[in-house]
Amino acid sequence: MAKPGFSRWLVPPAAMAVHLCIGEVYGFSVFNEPLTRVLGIAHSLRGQDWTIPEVGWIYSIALMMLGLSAALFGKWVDRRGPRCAMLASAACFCGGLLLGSLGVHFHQLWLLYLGYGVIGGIGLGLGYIAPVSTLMKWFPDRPGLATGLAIMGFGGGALVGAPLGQELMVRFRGATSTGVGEAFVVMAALYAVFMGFGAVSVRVPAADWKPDGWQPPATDAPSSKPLAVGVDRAWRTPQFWLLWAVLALNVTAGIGILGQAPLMVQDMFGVNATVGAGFAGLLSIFNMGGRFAWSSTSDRTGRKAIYCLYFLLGASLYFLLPWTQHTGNQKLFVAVAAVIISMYGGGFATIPAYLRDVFGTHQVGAIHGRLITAWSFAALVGPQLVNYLSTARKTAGIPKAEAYNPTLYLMGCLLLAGCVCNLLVRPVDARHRLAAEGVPT
Amino acid sequence: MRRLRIAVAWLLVGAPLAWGVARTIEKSLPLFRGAGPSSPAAGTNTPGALPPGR
Repeated sequence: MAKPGFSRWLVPPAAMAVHLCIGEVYGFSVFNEPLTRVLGIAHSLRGQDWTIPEVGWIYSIALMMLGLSAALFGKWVDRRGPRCAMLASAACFCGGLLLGSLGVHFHQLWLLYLGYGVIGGIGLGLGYIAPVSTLMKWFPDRPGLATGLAIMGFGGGALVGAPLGQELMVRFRGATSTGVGEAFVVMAALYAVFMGFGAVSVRVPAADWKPDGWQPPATDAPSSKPLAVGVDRAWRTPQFWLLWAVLALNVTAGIGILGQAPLMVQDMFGVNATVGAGFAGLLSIFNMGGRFAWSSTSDRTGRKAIYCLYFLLGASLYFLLPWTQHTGNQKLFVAVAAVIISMYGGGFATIPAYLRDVFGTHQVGAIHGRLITAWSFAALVGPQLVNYLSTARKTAGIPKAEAYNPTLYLMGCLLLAGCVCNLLVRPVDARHRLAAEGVPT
Repeated sequence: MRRLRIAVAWLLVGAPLAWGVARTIEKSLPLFRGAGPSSPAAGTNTPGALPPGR
C-alpha cells in the first residue's frame, strides 16, 4: 500500500520493467538457429542436433502457457496484489531461463520445454496481467495511458531482448559452445534484477485514493450499485464474448502483415532479405509505439470510438495495400503497413481500459486474464490462415507480387467484422453487478 | 527527491528501450535507401521483429 505522498508516476516504470523483460519472448527466434547446432557448434549435426520445428515448440509452449496462466491465475493475481505476482513472475521467468540453460548444457530438449516453455510461460502470464489493474486504479482519469505504457513495454521487449541475446551469444560463442546457454544465464540474472526493481517499486493505492481534483464521471446506468462485475459473472455476459471477438479479430488481422512481413515486402517489391528484416523491425517499433499512442488517445475519444477507428481505418488501409504494390510505391506501402500495425498494437493496449469501462476495476485483472485466450486463439489460427492462402496462390502460379492480395482483403473484412462486434457492446446489465459486500445479486 | 526518484525510475526503463529502438532503426535504414535486388539470404535473422501473432 502506498504511503501518502507517493507519486503515481513511479508505477508505470515499475510495470514497464516487468513487461520489457517478459516481452523478450517475442525475440526468442534469435535463439532458434543456434539451438539447432548445440552439438555440432559450427553446423547442425543431422540426427543428433535439434531441428527448427522441435525448437519452435519452446516458443509455442511459452505462448500457450501465457494464455493459460493468465486465465487461471487472474483471480489469484487480483487477490495477492501486483508485488507478489511480479515476484512470482520473475521467479518463474528467470527460473525458466536457468532451467533452459541446463537443457542446453545437457542437450535435453524436454528441459527447455519445461523451463522456458512451461515455467517461463507461467511467468509471462503472471507478469502480463500483474500491473494492469493496479495501473488503472492509480490512473482512473487516464486508464488508457497507464495500460498503454505497460503494454508498450511488452511490445518493446523484443527490441531489447533480441539484440541483447545476439550480443551475448557472440560474446560467449567458442569452440565448444554456441553461447546460447550462457546467454540464458546472463539474461536470467539481468531480468531478475530488473523485474525485482519493478516488484519493489510498485504500490497499490489506498481504497479511497483518487487524483487531486478528479471526480469520477457520473454514471448513466440505471443502477445504484457501483460498476463492479466479478470475473465469474463477467465471462458469462455477451459483453465479454463480444470483446473477446474484438481482440481476436484485431489480432488475427494484424498477423496478416506481421507474420509475413519480411517475405511479403520481398515478394511484393523484389527487395532482398536484409531489407525485409529491416521492414519487420520497423513494424515492431510501430507496434510498440501504437500501444502507447492509441491507448492514450482512447482516454479522450472513448474506447468504443477508438476501436471503430482501428477497425474502419485499418480495413480501409488493408484494402489500399495491394494498390500500393501495383503502383510500385514502396515507401507508401511501408507507411500504410506501419499505421495498420500501430493500430494492431493499440488494440492490445486499449483492451484493459475497455474492460474497466464495461466491468469496473473490481476484478479487471482476472477478466483481462481470461480475455487473453482470444490472443492465444488468434495466434494459432491467424498465421495458418495467412500461410495457407498465400501458399495456395503461389502454388497456383499467381505472380508472387500478387499472391498476398486475397489475404490482405480478407484481413480487411475481418476488421469490419470486428467493428460490428465492437458496435454491439452495451453496458452490462445491473443484475451482474456486485452488491456492496461483493455478492452478485 | 521525489522528482529524482521518478527520473531515475524512468531512465532505468527508458535507456534499454532506447538502445533497442536505435538498433532496430539502424537495421531498417536499408528500407529507405532504395531497394536492392532480391537475393536468397537464407538464415537471416530478424532481430526485433515480432513472430507471427504477437
